[in-house]
Formats: sequence, structure tokens, C-alpha cells
Amino acid sequence: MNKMLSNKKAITLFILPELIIFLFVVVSSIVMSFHYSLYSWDGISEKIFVGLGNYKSLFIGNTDGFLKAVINPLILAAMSLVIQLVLALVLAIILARGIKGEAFFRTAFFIPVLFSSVVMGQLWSMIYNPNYGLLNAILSKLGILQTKIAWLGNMDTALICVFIAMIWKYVGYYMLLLYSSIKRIPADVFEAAEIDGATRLQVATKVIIPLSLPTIKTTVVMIVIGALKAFDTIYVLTNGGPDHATEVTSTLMYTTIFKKNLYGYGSSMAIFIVVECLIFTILLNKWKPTQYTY
Amino acid sequence: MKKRVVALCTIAALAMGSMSVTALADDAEKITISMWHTWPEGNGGTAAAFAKTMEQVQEKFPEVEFVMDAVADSGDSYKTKLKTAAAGNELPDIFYTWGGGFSETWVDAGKVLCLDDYTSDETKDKFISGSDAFFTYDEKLYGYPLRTNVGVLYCNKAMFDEAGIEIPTTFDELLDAVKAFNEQGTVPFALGGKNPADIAWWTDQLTQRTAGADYVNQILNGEATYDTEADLQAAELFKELVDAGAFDAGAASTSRDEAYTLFASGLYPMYFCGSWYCANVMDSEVKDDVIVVNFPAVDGAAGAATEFLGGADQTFMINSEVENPEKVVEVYAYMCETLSENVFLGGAGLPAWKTDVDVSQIENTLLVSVYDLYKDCSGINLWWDNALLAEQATEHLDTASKLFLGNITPEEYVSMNTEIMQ
Repeated sequence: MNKMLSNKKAITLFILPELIIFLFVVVSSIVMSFHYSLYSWDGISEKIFVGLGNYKSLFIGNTDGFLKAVINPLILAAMSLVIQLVLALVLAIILARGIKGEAFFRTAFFIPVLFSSVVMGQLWSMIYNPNYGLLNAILSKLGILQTKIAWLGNMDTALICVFIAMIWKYVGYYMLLLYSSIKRIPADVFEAAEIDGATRLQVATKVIIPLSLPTIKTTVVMIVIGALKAFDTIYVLTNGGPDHATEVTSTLMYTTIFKKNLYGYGSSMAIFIVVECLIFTILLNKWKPTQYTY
Repeated sequence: MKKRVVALCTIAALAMGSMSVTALADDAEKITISMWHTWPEGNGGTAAAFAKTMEQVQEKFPEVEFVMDAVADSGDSYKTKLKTAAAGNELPDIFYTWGGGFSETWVDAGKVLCLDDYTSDETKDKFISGSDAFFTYDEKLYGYPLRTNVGVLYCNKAMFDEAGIEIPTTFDELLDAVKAFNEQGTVPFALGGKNPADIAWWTDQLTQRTAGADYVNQILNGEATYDTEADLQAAELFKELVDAGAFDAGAASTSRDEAYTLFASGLYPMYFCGSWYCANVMDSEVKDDVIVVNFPAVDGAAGAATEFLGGADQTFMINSEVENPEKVVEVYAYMCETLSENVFLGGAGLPAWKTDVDVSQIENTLLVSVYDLYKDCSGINLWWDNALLAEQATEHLDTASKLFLGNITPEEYVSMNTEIMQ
């Protein structure tokens, strides 16, 4: 292994394919988007150079609800952190410490991740449907609800309903990440804790969580970034509506580019998302959890 | 090793060489036309008419090989594909598209072929009068019409009879019907409000009724301002309908496809939609119960009940960089004319080319009733989202959504649109 890592040719060979794809697919798109963001362009006619004019329209005297489209993903990030992280961690700890049917539950919780977002969107729009949806049916059977609620058609409930669908989908994914990290903790650590008389709760809080901090940190970064660039589920469920109630930065960008034909202005939103994600990644990386070794 | 590689390369080169020679010999007369459309096989009435048309085209022009690509146009996927291709200069030779504001930028940017040089007066005479209006920019023609679709009110007569309610012919009667249905616990209208365009059909149709089609065309062409009493009245009437419970509470999250299905399942007594929907109705369990009528008139207003939203708004356009334009236009002309007839025969839309089709042959009797209504047409406006430029259109649809949800007042609706339509 060491011999291979010192072999520059081998390193180049292994990294090159990924590097090429990364440069061409990711970096070049960002550079192109930045280039377009400096122009006023309808995608068809000649481009007109406007410098930072598009960015100015984003931040100064904005009229297309950009601020709301930036705040909504932040709400999603906060909600995801609280709900997804806690839920994923609890599930991972319970599963990893061995319960009956561990493999079954591990798979069951992971299944939503495997669904395509479109399938999942359809599923949830059935659940939320005011006329024949599961949610209204259950609530009215329980006698909680007298009138039908249009969960996705109502300005007050649409945002939270879309977010719940999105959060539900990825709990299983983060659970699996944390689960595998907990599984790596050697059994003797747990044995030692038990001999010292630690309760299950103490094992979880004093042993498992501290030892899984690096993975938890990765999970936090992924949850936050995932929320900031969320698109597909919202697009399928509400397309940012009703009246922009569920608008996020990326759906607004989509509308701006493909419906309003404002390629330049929309590209400046794309660059905003890139920069925003970078800033959050850097900030979160400032958090250096103590590395415990076992 | 090296020898073997050289040998392999030689063989490969020889093989390719001989292949291209045979290909040349076979294809001397052949031309290839790439084409994009929105009707994958088995996707409804228009798809069937299109498939039949292409068979006829292929029979008449066996030397043409078509490279087809179909994307079903539910929502905006096809428009997005077109715009992306245009931005990347990857348009096919012929592509399905829309007239009015949608193509204005395309024409200005020189992306599409001007058909004037290739179109004889004889061909132009075959168009039903005015059906090329939406593809004419600066008096130059850029597309042949395919079919006409107009907005009509679909009424489930069986539900009306059962409830003892009359089919409305004026707005006041419509409002009464809405109230009467609500009293019996029935939501009067299906509406796919997740798509803001479907909400704007309502505000735009009402504006046509209160202000008249001539004035609306002036607004859409930027020759009049959207700030008259009639504009305000339309917004107020729409709000009155919404407040009277004309639509489902969940309508803002209902997609157009869902609305189609809900009305066709006999769950709603009324639905305002384009005539293309006739084919769906005829395919459903309510086909014997549904009739079509003009959208009700507003008493004392400028617009008549015989004015329509819609028109021949769809077309195919030809890439301006197409090789061999004469031949392509020849094939194209035959295709458009044949499609217009097949669509009518198949019940998926009214014709846009003059035709001597025997109407009694048409199985879709609902469409024939639309045809009868359309014969008395006294004015027409394109669907506003196609007539306006993309940015205007999106913002206009947005205001309709806001008005529907009660987030703005009719006054605000008018003032926002005054600004948008400038």
C-alpha cells in the first residue's frame, strides 16, 4: 500500500478520471454560469454585458421574492438538522446496538432513499391530496378534522408539508452513515462501559456519540448543503407554489431561467447557491470535534 | 504487439471505407430530417393523428428519413428542452413550437427559417383565414398552422339535470349556478391551479368578456394599457366566483392532469378548458353527459359570448440553418396540412387548414359541437401566456395565482398587470 502511494504514476492514474470529470462537469459549469451571470441574455439572442448588474438586482430593491427563496432553504436546513440528525442518530444507535430484525429495519428505513424523487413526490402528493389523501382520511377518522385541508394548496401548510416529505426521505441515508460508524466501534469499548456500570443511555451519550463525532460532522455538512440546494421534491410537489410559498433558491432559479428566459439573471442565482454552499461548508469545517481514539 | 495493432487498424479502416462507399451509393437520393415533437406514441388523440400523418408523409416522400424525438408536453418539459437546445445551438431541422410571444425572440434572433420565399399564394389560400396570424412577425411568415383550439365551458349535463340547475349563459347565471351547486355540497368547477396558466385562463377569459377581444389584442400587442374599468371588472368578477366557492380549496395544488381526470370522472359539473380536452372526455365515462357551451357573457360589457381564447397557436418551425430548405419546406407543408385534417378527424382539435372533411364522419361529437360554436366566432385572443413575452407571461400568471389565493385585491391585480403589460 505504502509503495503504491509513493508511486506518482499510480496516483495520477487513479485520480485522473475523477479529476477530468470534475473539471469538465462541475468546475466548467460553475465557470460558465459565472460568465453568463455577467450578461443580460434571453438564451436565444445576443448577450449584452451588464457586469455585476444581475447581482445588484438580487440584493438591492429585489422584486421577485429572492429573499424569501433564500430564507426557506435555511428554514429547511434548521428543521432537517433538528429532525433528521436526531432521528437518524437515535435509529442508528438502537439498530447498531443490536435488536431483533436489525437487518430488516436497516433496509426498511433506507428504502425511501432509493426512490426517485419524482416517485416520492407522487407518493406524498397522494398522501396530502385533499379529496382522497391518506392524511385527511386518517385525521377525519380520528375526529380531529371536520373540514378537508388542502395541505399543499394552502399558503400556511404547504411549506411545512413539503419539508416533511423531504426530511422523511433522507433520514434513512444519514441513519446508515451513522450506523456504520457506530458499528466500527470495537466491542471491548462497550464491554468496558458495561463493566463500569454504564446504563444504555450513558453508553449512547458518553461512548457512542463522542466516538462518532467525525461522522456526525460529515452528516451535518451534508444535511445543510442538501437543504440549501434542494430542488427535485419541491419541483414535483408544488413547483414553488402556491404563490411562492414553497419557493427555494433553486426553484426560483429554474423559473427565472426557463420560464422568464432570463439566463443571465438566473445564472447569478446559481452562483449565489454555489457561494452560499461553499461558505456554509467552510464555516462547518471550522468545527473540529475532538478526535477520540479507541 | 505493435504489428497486430497496425493490422487491426488497417482492417478497421478498410471495413469503414467500404461501408461508407456502399452507404453513398444507397443514399444518393435520400435526405434525413430531424424533428422534435410532443406526441410519443399512444399518448392521446393528437399522438394518433400525428402517427397517421407521418405514415402518409412517409408514403408520399419515401426518400426522406425522419429522425424523431418526442417529449410529452406535460407542463414545461418540452419548452425547457427547446430553450436549452437553442441556447446550445443544437436545434433539429423541424421542431414543434408555439406562435405569439413565445417565438418572437426566436424570430428576432434568426433561429427560425422565414417561409415567405418557399410559400406559394396557393398554399397560403389553404389556411383558414387568420390562422397564420400568430406565426407572422413583421408581416413575414415563420410557421404553418396545425390546428385550432379554443377555450370552451364543459358542462356535465347529467349533474346539472340531477341538481335541477340550468346551464348558464350569462355571468349572473353562472354565479347563481355556483351558489346552487355549493348549497348541494358540490364544488362547481374543476381547476388545475398548480399550473398558474390554468388560473389565468379564467382571468383572461373574463377580461375578454368585459373588455372585448379587440381591446385585449391591443393590450397583448402593447398598443393599449391594462388599466380600464373593464380590466378591473374582470378581476372583481373572478374574485366574486372564488369567494362564492366556485373552486375546490385544493385547486392550487391540483395539476392539470388531475383536473382532467377529476372532471372526466364526473366529480365536477363544470370545467373551463381548451377544445383539445374533447378527446379526453370522449374517452371517459362521462362522454354522454358532457356538453360544451360558450363561456358566459357578462351583461352590458364589451365582449360577446362568441369571442374565444385560443386560436391556431401551435406550429412546427424550421431551423434557419437547415440544409436543403426547398425540399424540407415541401415535406413540411404536406405534413402540416395532413396533420390539420387528421387532428380534426381524430377529434383532437379544430382544423387550421381548409378541409372538405365530412363532419358526420367524426366520431368525436363533442368536438363537432365546438366546431359549430367556433363557426360564429366574432373575435379571438391567443392564450395570454403564449401571446406575451416569456418574462411578462410568467409575471402575469403569477398575479392570477395571487388573486386566486386572495393574496392581492382586484385593484392590485390591475395595477400589477398595468406595469407588466407596458
